[in-house]
Amino acid sequence: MVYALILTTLIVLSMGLLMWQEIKLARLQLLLILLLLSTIAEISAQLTVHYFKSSIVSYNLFTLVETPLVLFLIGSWIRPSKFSNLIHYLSAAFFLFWLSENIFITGFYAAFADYSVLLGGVIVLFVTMAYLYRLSNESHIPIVHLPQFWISASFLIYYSVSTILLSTMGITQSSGQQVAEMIYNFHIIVHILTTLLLLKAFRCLPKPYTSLQ
Amino acid sequence: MFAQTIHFTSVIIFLCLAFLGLAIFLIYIVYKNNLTNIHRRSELLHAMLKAQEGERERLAMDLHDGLGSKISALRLEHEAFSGKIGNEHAAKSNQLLELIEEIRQDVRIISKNLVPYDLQRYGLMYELDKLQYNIETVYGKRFIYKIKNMEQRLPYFAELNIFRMLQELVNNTVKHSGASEINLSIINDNKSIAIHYQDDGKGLMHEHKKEGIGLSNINTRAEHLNGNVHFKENNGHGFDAYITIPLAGLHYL
Repeated sequence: MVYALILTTLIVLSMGLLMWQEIKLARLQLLLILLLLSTIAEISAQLTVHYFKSSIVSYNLFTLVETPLVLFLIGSWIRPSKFSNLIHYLSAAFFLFWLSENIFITGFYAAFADYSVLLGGVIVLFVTMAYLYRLSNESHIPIVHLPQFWISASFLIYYSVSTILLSTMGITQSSGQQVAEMIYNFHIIVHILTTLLLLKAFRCLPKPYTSLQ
Repeated sequence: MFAQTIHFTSVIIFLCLAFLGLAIFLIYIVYKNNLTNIHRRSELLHAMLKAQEGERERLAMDLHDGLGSKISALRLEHEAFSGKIGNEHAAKSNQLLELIEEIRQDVRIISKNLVPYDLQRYGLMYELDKLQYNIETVYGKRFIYKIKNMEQRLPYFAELNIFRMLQELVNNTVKHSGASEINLSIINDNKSIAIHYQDDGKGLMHEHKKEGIGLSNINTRAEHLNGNVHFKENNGHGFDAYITIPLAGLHYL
């Protein structure tokens, strides 16, 4: 299953790289970085499981960069305002919380940082919902024609499931290997579907200006 | 143990599905809210632009029927009077006649620009030909335009808004930029209309910062057509305007 996820992410990433000019025009470069890091995290998780019997380090590190990247991506679409300041404060708060949990509470190598995942998920869900509401009020064209809408929608769907699944990972793992695997696979299915939603976002990218001159 | 495991898994999956459903419902609400806002804004803009066109029409009529007919009467009076004056004032009389004719032409051009009647009858391409003729003969500037896939006419209100935007850009170029050449390209790629307007003047952004009405009018009109505008100034070496108008939804205008 995880290989299907890596493959899907790589396909979407390649599509994004092929459309680099349009991506630049829509200021979505951070999305490609996010996809790249997500692929690296999944591959390194597979390697660390193979060599060190645990992928906790990879996932914990990815959690640290994932939430701020998503927040900065959304922040890059909006003009400087109270909302964009709030996004920066939330990123900083998340970073401090991640440090506290991973260093002082759970231990970086020891356990999956459930609370950081929960906090990151809640922050991303809050920011995404606020952004979508803002977009729906401000956009003068139907938002289904905007890549930002599809990307935010995919974040909203992914994090609404992922926050619950990953923040209960500790309990899940203690319930046995079978349950953990089942829930992990469910998470991967949702992840693949939301990654595929990004293809729809790429279809809405603005074309570079054309001219007969 | 097995039953407990199944129970636990079910609870988690049920929770996930519930949140997934909620997320999809929220996305739907946001989409509906956006459509309602667009509809409301579009109605408001439509009414505003319609009122503006109505006012232009009234002004054009006043100019044509009031000032225009008075100038014609003045010309006739002058012609009748010029027969009675001696040769020593003939040169002055001819000068006066030329001035009256010039004013009459100006009033005609202004009232025609206010309401482009030919646009409704013959379409945007015909008006562009006229615009080209006017710019080259009246203002002495080169106006080159290229079109692609524009044979089929657009709804009148869309053509009118596009024409007004071009008129505004030309107006800015003629008044402020000191340009000698204007290039225009219009492409219909069956999904949208891409307009690229370019002049080789000193740029317009400083004017835009000062006044802003002309360029903001262009933005309003593009917004009304669900399109977008991008202005680019090349550090005093010309000005570019890119206008993109999606074709979807134009027939509702």
